[in-house]
Amino acid sequence: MGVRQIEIIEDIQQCTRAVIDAVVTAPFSRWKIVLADLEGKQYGEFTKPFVYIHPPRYDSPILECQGSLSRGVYLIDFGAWCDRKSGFAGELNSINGRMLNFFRDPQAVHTQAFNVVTSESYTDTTLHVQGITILGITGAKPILTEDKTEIRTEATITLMA
Amino acid sequence: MALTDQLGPPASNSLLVGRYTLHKFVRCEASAGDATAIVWANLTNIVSITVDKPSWDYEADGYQQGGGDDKLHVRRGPKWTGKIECHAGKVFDVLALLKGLTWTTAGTVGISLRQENDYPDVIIQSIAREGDNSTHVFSRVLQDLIIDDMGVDSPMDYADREIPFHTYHEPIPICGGSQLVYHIWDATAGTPTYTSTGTPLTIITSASHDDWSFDNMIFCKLKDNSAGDAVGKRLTTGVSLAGGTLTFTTGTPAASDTVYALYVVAV
Repeated sequence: MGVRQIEIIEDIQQCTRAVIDAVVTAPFSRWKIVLADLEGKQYGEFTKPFVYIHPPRYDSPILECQGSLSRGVYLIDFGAWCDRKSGFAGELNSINGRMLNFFRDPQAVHTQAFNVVTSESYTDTTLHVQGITILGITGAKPILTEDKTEIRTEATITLMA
Repeated sequence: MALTDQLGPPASNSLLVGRYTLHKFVRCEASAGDATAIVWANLTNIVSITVDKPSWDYEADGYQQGGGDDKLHVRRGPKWTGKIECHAGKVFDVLALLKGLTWTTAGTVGISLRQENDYPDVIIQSIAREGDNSTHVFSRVLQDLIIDDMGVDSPMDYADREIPFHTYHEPIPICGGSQLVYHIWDATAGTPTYTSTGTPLTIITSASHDDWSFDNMIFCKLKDNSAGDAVGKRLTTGVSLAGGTLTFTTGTPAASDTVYALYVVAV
């Protein structure tokens, strides 16, 4: 059970999207949680505000043992995108504040139940069960947008899997 | 066996980070709870609790004539020293907790940093947990800690403060899924049985290990208040613990006595 090493990028991204999706409940369920469109072509189709999850990037080995493989530390960027009609900076602050609070709470983030399909369809699983340990999160930094009526930030989660 | 074997990656719970460890404590001489176990209190503002390897009062090599250089190494009187690192602003709050003092203007205003005796102060269980801050990995039992005389720096920059301690009884790791129970009973004259909590687990086979007198108790103590005992003294025989009952087979306590037991149950 848990994320597959051979499909580690896909599985971490899916689990991260799913856990954020699960923690976002009313009145914040207007925040749509999506997998990142790397070329940015589809962002315009999403109703704002939305949160997008990039694929994780391998950073470094961790838990190295003599004679064995190691586990990896991964960085996964997620962004939030709002416009004037969806609350603008205040809404963005709310998203980032709640994500910061969630990912800095080791009990909440590892026990939040979610459903995900990776190697199989998991119901009411958790990051802990999936073998993902959240190590930290950075503060969100602003990302330039072409449309001045829109506002966007990105933050980075550090995790072990 | 193959010389080319490659092991898989370590399990995720191989990573143990101190910030996920929870420390709980009880005062050794807490008020008797009788049939109710003593409640463990959380120890906050802890940065680390470290314990060094033991030193020995007596250590010598024994030889016999005709035995050549073959020797028997003898050690007696272990002593473990350690320190509790606290946030600077909370060091005396922690010290007051450990000493059982109410450190307020309505209670005890000053705390002496010179310890007056060599009596056990507290028992601490350090509960190591996985990165989810919940899943139990193991616990470290620090039994009968005696707070040492303190010095306290006041440096300019940020620094933690330390509370030194020592103990004459070994620290013990207990496995995941187990926890300590500490009972104190005010004895009833002529009563050999006392109601305990939970089913005690076998901890260590006492017959094969120094400093252990019971398989399923870390210790059982008796304090004879009529004789002026200040703290409980460890029993080595004459008492047993089985599901729900501590039974004295010899030496039934007197009315003024206090009985103590520390043992382990499944969570």
